[in-house]
Amino acid sequence: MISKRKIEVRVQSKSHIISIVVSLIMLIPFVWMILSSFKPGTEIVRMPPTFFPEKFTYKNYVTLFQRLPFERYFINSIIVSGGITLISMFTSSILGYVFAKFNFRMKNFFFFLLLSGFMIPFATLIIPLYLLISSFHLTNNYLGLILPFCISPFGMFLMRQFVEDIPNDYIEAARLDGASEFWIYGRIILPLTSAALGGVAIYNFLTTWNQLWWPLMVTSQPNMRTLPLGVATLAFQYGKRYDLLVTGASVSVIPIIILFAIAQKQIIKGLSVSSGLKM
Amino acid sequence: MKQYLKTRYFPWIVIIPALVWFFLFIAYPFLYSMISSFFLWFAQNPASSKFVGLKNYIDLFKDPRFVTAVKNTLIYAGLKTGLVVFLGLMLAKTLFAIKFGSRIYMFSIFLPSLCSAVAIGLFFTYLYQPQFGLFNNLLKNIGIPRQGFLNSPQQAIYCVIFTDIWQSLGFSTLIFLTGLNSIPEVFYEAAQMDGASDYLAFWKIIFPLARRVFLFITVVTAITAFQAFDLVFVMTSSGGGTGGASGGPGYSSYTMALQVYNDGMIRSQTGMASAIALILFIMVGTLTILQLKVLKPEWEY
Repeated sequence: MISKRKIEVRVQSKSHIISIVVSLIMLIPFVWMILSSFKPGTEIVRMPPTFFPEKFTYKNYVTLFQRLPFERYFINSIIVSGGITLISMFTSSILGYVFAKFNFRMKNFFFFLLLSGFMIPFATLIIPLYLLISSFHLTNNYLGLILPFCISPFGMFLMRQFVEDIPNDYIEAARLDGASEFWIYGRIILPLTSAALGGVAIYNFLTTWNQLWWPLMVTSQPNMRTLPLGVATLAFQYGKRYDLLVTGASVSVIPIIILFAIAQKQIIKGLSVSSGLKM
Repeated sequence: MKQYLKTRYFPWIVIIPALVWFFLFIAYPFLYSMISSFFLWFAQNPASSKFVGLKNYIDLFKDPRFVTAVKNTLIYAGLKTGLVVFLGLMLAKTLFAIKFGSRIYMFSIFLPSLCSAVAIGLFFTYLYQPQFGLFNNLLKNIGIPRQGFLNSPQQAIYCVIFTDIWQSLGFSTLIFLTGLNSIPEVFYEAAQMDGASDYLAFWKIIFPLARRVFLFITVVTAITAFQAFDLVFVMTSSGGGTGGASGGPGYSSYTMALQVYNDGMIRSQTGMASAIALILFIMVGTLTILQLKVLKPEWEY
């Protein structure tokens, strides 16, 4: 008879082997991408390919930053994603508060109306949205990039769930003391839902940081491009220059890798919260 | 009394701006798409647009580009949703069994999900490159002849789908793992006490409890897959060698979202683009409702 311990060891080692294989499949392309960005152009297109650079060089990065204003793309992305994240944190939480703790006419109707934004594919809205933004003369403008994402229906839905768990007594007590609703929102609701709000923030930041389609529609000036759009234009301008493509891709993933390495716990937790599962 | 009034008006101070935003950025574009899909629409001068009834829709189904786009979109959504959900569940189950070190695995598995599709797409274009790319080199070593990958009309869309699955797997794994972790321990213990086999315990006890998570991932993955744009846009332009316009070679890797962009922005056929956008909306809507019905949890714990 096989002992329980033996079965346990077998399950553990099997699981570890599978996990290691999958991890390598996921990790090797990144390692290779970054290593390749340090290879001279001739080595990148050589057959058979090399894994480690034979001749280590920074030249690709110098060329890339000379040809395209990547630092500008980076700043644009921070302004746009940062702006959307802050605004949607505010709108999600305050709408969540209103829908969780107030009674007013047609409340449920308004809630599902706003939530329906989540059900309509962005592809259905994108062309008229572009026409609208250009009629406001907001193309090539940060506002044009930010405005359509000011409210995150999903964030609102999530925050409502979390605000509902706050006991009404807290809110009533504050009201009896004469606190304004904004004070209650800022001093009671926000602190008690900070974990969920962090999740909403991380989710919104990452999705907008990686966005391509909308920036592609509303920016035509090179200096207004966001990072993903800047990297994508590489493909059009320098389609066969694999040294530049690989370097551009590396420039956009390296900050993410560093960020994830520093804040893995927070990011993972934030994104699990944003799946609507309370932990 | 003053306090009461303040509390009473507060919701409206919040709701009214939200509704204004909603009408501007959701309702108006949606209605615009709906209406213009029945017109020969001139976006710069809507007044001169001509009502054409269902002509846009009929023309679309006669257009081989659109037929390919629908076919590709269905294959894309089906393959991606099916595999990402299945593999994600298997992987989450594996990671769940691990006692030490699962954080390190999660780092590598989840990393692709955090990166932009553009960067991933460009790098995979390099891997798929027929002459010096990694994939052909690997195939050569096991004696399989050189493939065209992104340059081949038959293979291009599958190459994109594979990349997407590779990139999205981490997200579904993470959510499944969260789901498994949130099931109260007693259920696992009960399953063990009853001497249920691992397989049985998982499918009969654990899986039904994780149904809500299952529903969430299936719906979210399907919705995003139906709108596949970023990867297709990046990978089928440089790799396909069609110069500028994505969806190549020819129009073999068109998806519906890509055609919305090409028709609406590049070719300025707003009416046509709107018709595609609306068909996409109906497809996604039907599917979401269907999934909600089929996968609706029967109980809570």
